[in-house]
Amino acid sequence: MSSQRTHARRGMRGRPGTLTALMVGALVATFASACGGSDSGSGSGSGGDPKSLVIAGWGGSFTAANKEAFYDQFEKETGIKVTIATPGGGFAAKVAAQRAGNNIEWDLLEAPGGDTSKLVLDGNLEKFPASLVQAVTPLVADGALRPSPAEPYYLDHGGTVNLIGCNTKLVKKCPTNPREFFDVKSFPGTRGITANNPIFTSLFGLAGDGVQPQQYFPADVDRAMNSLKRIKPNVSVWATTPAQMQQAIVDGEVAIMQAPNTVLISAMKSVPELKLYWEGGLLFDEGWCVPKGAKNKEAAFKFIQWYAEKRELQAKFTTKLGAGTAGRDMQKYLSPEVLKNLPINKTGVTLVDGMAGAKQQQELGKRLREILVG
Amino acid sequence: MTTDTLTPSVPAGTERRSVPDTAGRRVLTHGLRAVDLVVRAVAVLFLGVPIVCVVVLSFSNAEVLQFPPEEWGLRQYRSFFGSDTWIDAMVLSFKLATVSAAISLLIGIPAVFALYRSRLPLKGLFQAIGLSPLVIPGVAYAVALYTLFVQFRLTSNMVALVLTYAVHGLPFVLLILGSAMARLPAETELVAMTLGASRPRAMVGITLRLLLPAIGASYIFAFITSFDEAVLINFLGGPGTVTLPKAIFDNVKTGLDPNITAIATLLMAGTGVVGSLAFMLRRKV
Amino acid sequence: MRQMRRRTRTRGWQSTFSGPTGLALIAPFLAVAAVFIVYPFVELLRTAFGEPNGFGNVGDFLKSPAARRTLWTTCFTSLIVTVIVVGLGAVLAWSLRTTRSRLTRMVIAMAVFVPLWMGAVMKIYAFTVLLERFGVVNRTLTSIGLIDEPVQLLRTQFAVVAGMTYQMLPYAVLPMYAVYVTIDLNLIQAAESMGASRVRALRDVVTPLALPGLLASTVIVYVICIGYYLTPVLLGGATAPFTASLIADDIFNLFQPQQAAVSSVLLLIVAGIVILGGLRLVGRERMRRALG
Repeated sequence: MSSQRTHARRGMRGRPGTLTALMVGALVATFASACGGSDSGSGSGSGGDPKSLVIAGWGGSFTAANKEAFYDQFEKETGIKVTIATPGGGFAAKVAAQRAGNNIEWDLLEAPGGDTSKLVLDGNLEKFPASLVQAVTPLVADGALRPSPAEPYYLDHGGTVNLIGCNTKLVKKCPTNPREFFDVKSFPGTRGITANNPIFTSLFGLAGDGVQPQQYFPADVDRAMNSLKRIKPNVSVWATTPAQMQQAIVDGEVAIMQAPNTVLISAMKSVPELKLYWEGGLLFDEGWCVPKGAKNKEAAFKFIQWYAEKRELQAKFTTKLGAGTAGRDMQKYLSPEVLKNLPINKTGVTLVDGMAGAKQQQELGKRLREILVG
Repeated sequence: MTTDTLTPSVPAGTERRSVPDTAGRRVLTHGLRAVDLVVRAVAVLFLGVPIVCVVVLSFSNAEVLQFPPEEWGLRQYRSFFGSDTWIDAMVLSFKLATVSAAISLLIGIPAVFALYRSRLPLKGLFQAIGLSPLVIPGVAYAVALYTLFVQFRLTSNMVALVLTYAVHGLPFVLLILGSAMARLPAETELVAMTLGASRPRAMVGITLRLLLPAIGASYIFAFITSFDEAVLINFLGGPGTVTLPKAIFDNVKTGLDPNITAIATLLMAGTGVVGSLAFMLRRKV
Repeated sequence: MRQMRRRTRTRGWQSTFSGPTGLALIAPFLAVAAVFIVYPFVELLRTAFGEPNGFGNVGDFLKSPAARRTLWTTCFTSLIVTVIVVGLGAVLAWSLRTTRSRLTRMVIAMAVFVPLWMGAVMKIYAFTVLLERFGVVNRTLTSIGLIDEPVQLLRTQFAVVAGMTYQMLPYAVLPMYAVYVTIDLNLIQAAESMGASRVRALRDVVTPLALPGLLASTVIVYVICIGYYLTPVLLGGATAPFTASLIADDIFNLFQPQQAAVSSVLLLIVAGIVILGGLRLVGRERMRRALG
C-alpha cells in the first residue's frame, strides 16, 4: 500500500493546479463560443422582415445549383436577403411539427411531389394568390400549377422519372417496360428496385402486373403487393438512397435497375453500356410551395413569380442537372441534346397523381413494409 | 492519454520469471499468448484495412467511389479545399464538439460525485435520466427535441445546439466515469484526509486524479459523439449550423461525391499525428 | 504538515457528501436534463400512449409481423455485435495496458482510435467498397484462389455485423482501457508468485477488478447498437432493417408519428432492461467483493 500513499501525496502537490486550469479553460472557451454563436445563429429567427426569405431545400448539389441559378440572382435584383436552410427531406413531417409548435420557420420549399401533395392534403400550404396565378399562367406549361389550376398550391419545377436502366454488358435481352421487367423468365438478370417511396414502388408493381397508367389510382393494394411479392426472390437490391443505386449499377451487382433518371444518367459515366427504357416511367414532380403561416410569404410569392419569368435561368439550371422544368415553350431556351433527355418529353412516361398517392401512402407503405421485411 | 503514470510501473521481465514453471502451466500460458496474438492480429487487420482503403481512394481522380482507382490524382483534395462550405463545416464541427464535450464534463463530473459519493435520494432515477439520450434511438429523440426547439424558437440557436450536444455526450461521462468511480474505494479520500488533506483537496487530489484517464475517455467520447452527430442536426440545425456530418449527408443525398474520402483521410491523418506526438512526448515511467 | 493534521481532528469522518451538497453538485445536470431530456421524453410518451388507443397503441405495433421481426433482428444482431466487440475490445484494451513494446502499443492505439475520425458515412461506404460483389475482399479472395466466384457479402447479416463492429470497437476499448489502467499489474505478479497460473491469475485477479468496466462497456455497446438505423439498411439491405430504420420511415414516409413513438418507447424498454441488468450485476459483484 505504500504506492498509494506516494500517489496521494504527489496528487496533492501537483495536480489540482492543472485540473483547475483545465476547467477554467473549458469554461472560458464555453462562454466565448456561446456568445460568438448567438450572434451568428439568429438567421431564421428574424421573422416578418419583408426583405428576407428563408428557403428550405434538399442541400447538396441540388440546392447548390438552385443557389447558383436563382437565389443569388434574385437577391441581387430584389434586395431580398435569401437564407438557405437544408433540412434535407422530410418536409411534410417537419412543416407539420412547425405548425403544431406555431412557429413556421421556412418561407419557401423546394420540395418533392410526395411531400407537397401531403402538405396540400393536410392543409399546410398557402394557396397562391389570384394575382400570382394570373401573372404566372402565361409563363409556365399547362398544368404546371398543381394540384390543379383551380387549387393552385405549388408550382411544378420539373421532377424526376423512375425508369428502367439495363446493363447490356451483363444481359443479352433487356426488358423495355415494367411488364418485361417483372417477367423474370424471359428476361433473366439480377434486378434492383427503388424503394425509397412506397407510392413509387407500389405503382411499379402494378405496372409490372399489367395495370394501365390511367388505372393506377385508386391503387389496388393487394394486386400491387402480390406482384412485388412474386418478384422479390429475383430482386437483389431494394435501394433507398441514390448512392446505393449508383453503387449497385457501377459494381455490376445488378444488371437491370429501376431508378430515377438522374441516378441512371450519372451512372452511365462509369457504365457506358447502360441503356435506358422510358416506357412505363413514373414522373414525380417537385414544386415551389409556401408553408401556411410563413413569416415572409409575400417575398416567397414574389420569388415564384420571378422564377417563372426567368426562363433563360431555368434553362441553365436544367442543362446543368438534367432535371425537368415547368416553363412554357422551353424548346426556345434549351439545346436539342438537353431536350432529348428531359423526362417530360418522353412518351410512355406518366405523371404520378401526387394527391391520389398521398391519400394511399400510409396504407401502401405499411403493406410494402410487410412484403419487404416479411 | 498520459495514463500510465497513475499506476506503479512493472519492471520489465519480472512478472513471469518469478514463478516456477511447470509443463502444464507453460502450455496454458503459451496457448493464451498464441490466442492473444492471433486475436490482436485479426483485430488490427480488421481495423486497418478500411483505413488503408479510404486513404487509397482519396488519391483517386474518379467521380464515383471505385476500387482500385483508375486514375490517380488530387481531385478529392482540390474539391475539399476549393470549397468554403466544407472548410466552414469542419471548423464549426470542431468548435461545437470542443465546447459541448467540455460542458458535458462540467455538468457530468459533479453529477457523478453526487451520484456515487453523496446521500442524495433518487440516484437511480437521475442516473436513468442522464443515460437516456444514449438509449433512445436518434431519430425518435430528434423528433421529440424538434417539438421543443420549434416551440421555443431554438432552431439555429447555437447555445441550444451546444447544450443538446452536451446532453448527448453526458451518458458517456456518467457511464465511463461512473464505472471508474465505482471501482475507487471511497476510503482513499479518507486516507488522504487522515494524512491531513482537506475534503476538497482529497477529492481533487486523489479521486479526480485517479479518475483522470476515465475523464479523458469520457471527453473523447463526448467530443466524437458531437463531432460525428448526423441525425439530430438534420432536425435542429438551421441555416447557420451546417456541421461536417450534415454537409456530408447533404452531399450524399444527391449521389456520392468521393471527396468525403479526402475529408476522412485528413481527419485521420490529423489525429494520427496528434496521437503519435502524444506517444513520443510521453516519458516512459 | 503538523498544522494540517491538527485541523483534521475537527472534521467528521464521512466518506460521502450530505444530501444537500449532493443536490448542489447535481443541480446543473438536473437543470439541463429537465429541458433537454425530461421534457422531450414526456412529449414522446404522450404521443406514444395518447389518443386514440392509449396503451392499445402498442397492439398496432405487435400486430405487424414486419415490426416484430425487425425488433428481433435489432436485438439479436446487436447481441452478436456486442459479444464480438466486447471480446475483441477486451483483448485489445488489455494489450494496450500490458504491452511493453512501443510499436505494438502504437499500432493498436492507432488501429482503435483513428477510425473514430473517419465519420459514420465514410465507414459505411468503406465497407461497401470492401464487400461489394466486385469489391476488394472478393477480388482478393478470387485472385489468391480461395474462391472461384465472388460471394455475396454486401447486403448480408455479415456485412451489418462487420460494419457495426467497426464503428463500435473504439467505444468498448476506451472505457475498458480506462478501467484496466486502475488495475495494479503487480497483483498478477503476486498471484503468480503464490503459485497461480497466468490463466488463473487473469481469471481470479484481473477479471473481478475489470468486471464493472467490462459490463459498463457491454451495456454501452449494446444500447448504442439497438439504435442504429443507417448501417443496417445500407450494408444489410432494405429487407433487414433495424427498428430505428422503421422509426425514420414511420415519420417521413408513412406519416405516423405515433407508431414511431411507440417503437421508440419499446426500444427504450429493451435498453432499460439491459442497463438495469448491467447495473444489478455490477452492484452484486461489488457487494461480493466487499463481503470478501
